[in-house]
Amino acid sequence: MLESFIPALYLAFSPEVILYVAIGVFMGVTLGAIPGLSGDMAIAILLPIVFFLEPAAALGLLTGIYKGGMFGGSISAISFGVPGTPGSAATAIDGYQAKLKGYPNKALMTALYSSVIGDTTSDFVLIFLALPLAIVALTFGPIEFFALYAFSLLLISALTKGKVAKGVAMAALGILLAMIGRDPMGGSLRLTFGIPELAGGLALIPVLVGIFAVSELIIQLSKAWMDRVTRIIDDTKQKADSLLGDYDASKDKLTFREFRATMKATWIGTTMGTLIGALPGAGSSLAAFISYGLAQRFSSNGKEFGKGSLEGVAAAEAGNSATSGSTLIPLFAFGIPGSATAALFGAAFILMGMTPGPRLIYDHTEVIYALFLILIYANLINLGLSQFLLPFYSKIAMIKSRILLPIVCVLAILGTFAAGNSVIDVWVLLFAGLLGVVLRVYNFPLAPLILGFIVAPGAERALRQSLLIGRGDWMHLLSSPIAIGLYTVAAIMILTFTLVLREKK
Amino acid sequence: MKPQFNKLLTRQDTYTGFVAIAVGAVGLLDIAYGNWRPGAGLGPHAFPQLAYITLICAGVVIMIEAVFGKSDEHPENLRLVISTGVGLVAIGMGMFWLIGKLGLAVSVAITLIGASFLLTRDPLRHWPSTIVVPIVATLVIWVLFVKLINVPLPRGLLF
Repeated sequence: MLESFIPALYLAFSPEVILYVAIGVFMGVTLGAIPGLSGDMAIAILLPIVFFLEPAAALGLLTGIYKGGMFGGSISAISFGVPGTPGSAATAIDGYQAKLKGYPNKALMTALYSSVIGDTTSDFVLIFLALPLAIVALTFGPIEFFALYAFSLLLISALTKGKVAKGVAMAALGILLAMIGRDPMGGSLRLTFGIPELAGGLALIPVLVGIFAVSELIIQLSKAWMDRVTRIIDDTKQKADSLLGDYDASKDKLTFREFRATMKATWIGTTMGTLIGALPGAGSSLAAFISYGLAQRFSSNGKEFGKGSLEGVAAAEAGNSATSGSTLIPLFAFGIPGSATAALFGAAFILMGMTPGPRLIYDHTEVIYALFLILIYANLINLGLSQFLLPFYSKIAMIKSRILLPIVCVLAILGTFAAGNSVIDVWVLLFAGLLGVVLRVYNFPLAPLILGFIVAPGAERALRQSLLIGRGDWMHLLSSPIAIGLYTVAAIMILTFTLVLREKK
Repeated sequence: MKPQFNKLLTRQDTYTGFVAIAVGAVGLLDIAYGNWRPGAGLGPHAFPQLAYITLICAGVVIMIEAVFGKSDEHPENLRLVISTGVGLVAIGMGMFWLIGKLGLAVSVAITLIGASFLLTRDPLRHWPSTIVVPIVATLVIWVLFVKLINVPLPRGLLF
C-alpha cells in the first residue's frame, strides 16, 4: 500500500486540489459564521455538484468546508454571543464575555489555535486507527455486521440530543424510508403505494439534502420572515458596542504566555472531543460542553470560567473541533456514519462510486491517502487564511442570512436535479424537507433517521444472510463473541451516557 | 382522574407518541393484509415489520413519558413554519415549471428577486441586497449549471 503514497502526494498537492480546499475553507468559515447557516448545510447543498468533480478535488472542497465551518461557528459566538453552529454554543459562554470585557481578538485567536490543534490531532487519530480497524472489519461475517449496525443505530438513537424513544422512532422511520422500492433479495415491490416512480427507491441525495438542509432552510426562512435572527444580532451587537467603550486594538493581541496558559484546556478538549467524536451520535455540541466542564474542574482558575476565560474558549473550541476527524473513523472502518457530517461524506463517497466500509482503503488507496493528506493540510490552510482574514470574517458574521437563504434553496433544487436528472428527485427533496421540518419542530432528532436510511440496506442484508445461515434461528445472531461484545458495549454505553452524562449536561 | 387526563391531552408528546403508534399499526396491518409477496428465508416483509414494531414500542414509551410529565414543549410558530415549508414546496415546483417556459436564468432571477422582496422590509430601499445580489447570484448559477456542469434542464423560450 506504500507504493500508493507517492501518487496520493501528487493528487493531494495538485494546484487544483489545493485551490478547492482553500475555497472550501473560505466557504465553510463564511457559512459557519452566519447564524442559521452551517458548514454541514453547505456540504449537503454541494453534494450533487461534487458529482461533477474529480474525487480528490471534490473531497478537498468538502473537507475545506467542514474544517472552515468548525471554526466559523465560533466567530459569531464570540462576536455576538450567537453560536453560528450548535457545536460552538459552549464557546459563546466565555467568548462573548471576553468580547464584552474588551478582548475579542484574543478570544478569536484562542478559538482558532485550539480548533486547529484539536482538529489536527483528531485527524491523526483517524489516520492511524482507520486502517487497523478496517483490517479487523474484513474478518467480519453477516452476524458481526448486523451487530455493528444495531450497535450504531442504538448508540446514535440514545446519544443524540432529545429523548431516547424519539431517537429510536427516527431510526425506525429512516429504515422504513430505505425500504421503499424493490426488495434487493426477492425483487418484489415494497412500500411504493402504487406509485411506479418509487419502484427504484428513494435516492440518497434528495433525502439527505431535503431532511438535513431544506428543512433547516425552511425554519431559517420562517425566522427571516419574522426578522428575529437579524434583530437578535443587531441588539447584541449594539449592546456589545456600547459596553466596549474605548476599545484599544493594540492591547488585544494574544501573547505567547496567554496561549501557553490555555494549552492544558486545549488538550483536555482535544482528548474528549476525539473520544466522543468516535461514538455514533454523540456530536460536537456534547463534546464541547463536556470538555468545557472538565477543563473548568481541572483548571486552577476555574472560578474565571463563564467570565471571559480564554481557557474556557480553548476547551470548548478544541472539544468541538476534535470530533471532526474521529467522527469519520466508523465510516472508514465499518461503512457506518457516526454523525450527520459523516453521513454526508459517506454520501459523497457513494456518489463518486466508492463504497464506504473496510474495503474503501484497499479499493481506492490513492484517493483515501490523498484525503488523509488533505485533512492535515486543510487545517494549515484554515490557520493561515483565518489569521489573515479574521477582521474580515467578523464582518461576514453580520451578513443577514435572509440574503443568502433563497440562493441556497435554488442551489439545493437545481443541484438535486443535476445529480439524478430526475424531476421525481426534486419532489422527494421538497417533501423530505417538509418531513424534516415537522420532525424538527416536534423535537425529533434527525441524525438517527439519516443513519437508519443509510445503513438499512446493509443491515437487512446482514440479518437475512445471518438467519439463512442459522436456518431461521434468531439465537444464531448471538453465536459470535464479537456480536455479543458489541451488544454488551452498546448497552453499557447507553446506560452510562443516559444516566450519568446527560444529567451533567 | 379527569383533570389528570385533561392535562395529559395538553401535553405535546401524547400526540407525537400516538402518531408513532398509529403509523406502526397501519404498517403492520398493511403487511398482514396487503399485497406483500413472501420471499425466501426471512422474506421482504420482515425488516419493515421490525421497523414498525420498533416504531410502536418507541411511541408507547413516548406516551408513557408524557403521562409522567416528561413531554417536550409545544412548538413555537408552528403554523408559520409549516406554511413557509408549503410555500417553499410551491415556489420550488413553480420555479421548475417556469424554467421549462422561460429558461433557467429568467426563472431563477424572478424567484430570487421575488423571495428577497418577500423577506425584506422596505425592499426598494435595500435594492443592493434585493435586486443586485439576486441578479449576480443568477449569473453565477447560470454559469455553474449551464456552462460548467451542463445540466440538461428543460429548455425555455428565453435563457
